[in-house]
Amino acid sequence: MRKSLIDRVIEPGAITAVFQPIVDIRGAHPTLHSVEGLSRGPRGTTLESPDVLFEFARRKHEEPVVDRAAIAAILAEARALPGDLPIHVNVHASTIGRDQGLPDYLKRLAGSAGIALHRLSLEILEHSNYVEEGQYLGAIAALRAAGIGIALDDVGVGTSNFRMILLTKPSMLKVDRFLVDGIAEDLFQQATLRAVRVVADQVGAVVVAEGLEREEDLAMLRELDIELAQGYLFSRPRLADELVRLLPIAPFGRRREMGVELAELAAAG
Amino acid sequence: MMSTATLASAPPQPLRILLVEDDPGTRQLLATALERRGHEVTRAEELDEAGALLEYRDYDVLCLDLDLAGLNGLEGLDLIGEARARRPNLRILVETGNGNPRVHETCVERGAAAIFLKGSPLSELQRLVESARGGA
Repeated sequence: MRKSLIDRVIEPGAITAVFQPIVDIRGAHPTLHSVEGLSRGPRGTTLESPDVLFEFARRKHEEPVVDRAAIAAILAEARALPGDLPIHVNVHASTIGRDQGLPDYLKRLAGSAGIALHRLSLEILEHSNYVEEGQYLGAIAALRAAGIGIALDDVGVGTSNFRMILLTKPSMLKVDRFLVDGIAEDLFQQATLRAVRVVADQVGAVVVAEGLEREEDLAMLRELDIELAQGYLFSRPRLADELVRLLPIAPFGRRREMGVELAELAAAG
Repeated sequence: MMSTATLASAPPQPLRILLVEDDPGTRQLLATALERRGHEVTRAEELDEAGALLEYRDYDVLCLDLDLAGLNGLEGLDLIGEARARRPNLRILVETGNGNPRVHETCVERGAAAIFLKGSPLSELQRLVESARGGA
């Protein structure tokens, strides 16, 4: 009997991973800060695109199994990345709230991939208003205690709002492209990002602007004192070995000086 | 309105069609019939897959099998309602083996533009897809 679609999605090797640089934009030259691992569903299927893949998972209420499969694929591919590069992975808040074994699963996965837990950050996203708060908060505490960073994804859209900030107490706020794209010309976007900046400063969090595609917007992000940015202006998501070929093999401290290399990365398309 | 004779002779405006059908053989048969008319067909095998695609992709026509395995038909009706609300211009064509007129009426009430009775000639499917109107 043919396996169900969800079973085919979570088979080992079905989900693949690509990585997109997160860039420190504070200095005169952008420098590499970390990478976000992004999933791709089974090649050649309707679920290849991650937005459709994860919407499918949410509709089936199978976020935990699909999140696990995606993180496993990303960490397996991340072995090829330099051994000091921080890695971000996405996970649904509902997975954290339901999957009691997640912290131990991540420890096992990272261990077998040879990735130190302090290199890992979870970017938490949520598309529903329901999170089992007790289990969620307990799991967040366990993840933090293990040295895993906690970021909140898609800030500014959907349900990634003040409630999730208050509940999660993230050390990083990833602002959705909706607030970033075109910010150079939009006073309301600027005012909103200033407010996020104030919140982040008050709680000691870092702000990442997602979906950056234009130089004018980069200039405005710098004016607003945003530390980090991510988007096609710097690099599209790439396979790990492709990214490694474009990055200098150097200690992370030196890689912070690699504005030139990032410019080459952007020029490579 | 375009006549059947016109349809047979002139290639239609290519449409983006989301075909939801769980039986692989039927899916292949229907998709091929529509692709032969020059349409772009995305093949989905279950409702949640179709729902996810409708959320993030644009289609001109949703061709939905109401008799998907493991479902009672109500879920299919829910998807019609969701698709109608999300994409008011989407043309919805329901494919079913159920000849009960009451079922057909319910589908139309929910927003389907036409019903394709399984076993009918494929030319009928092509005609319904190409002449279906947005809205009930």
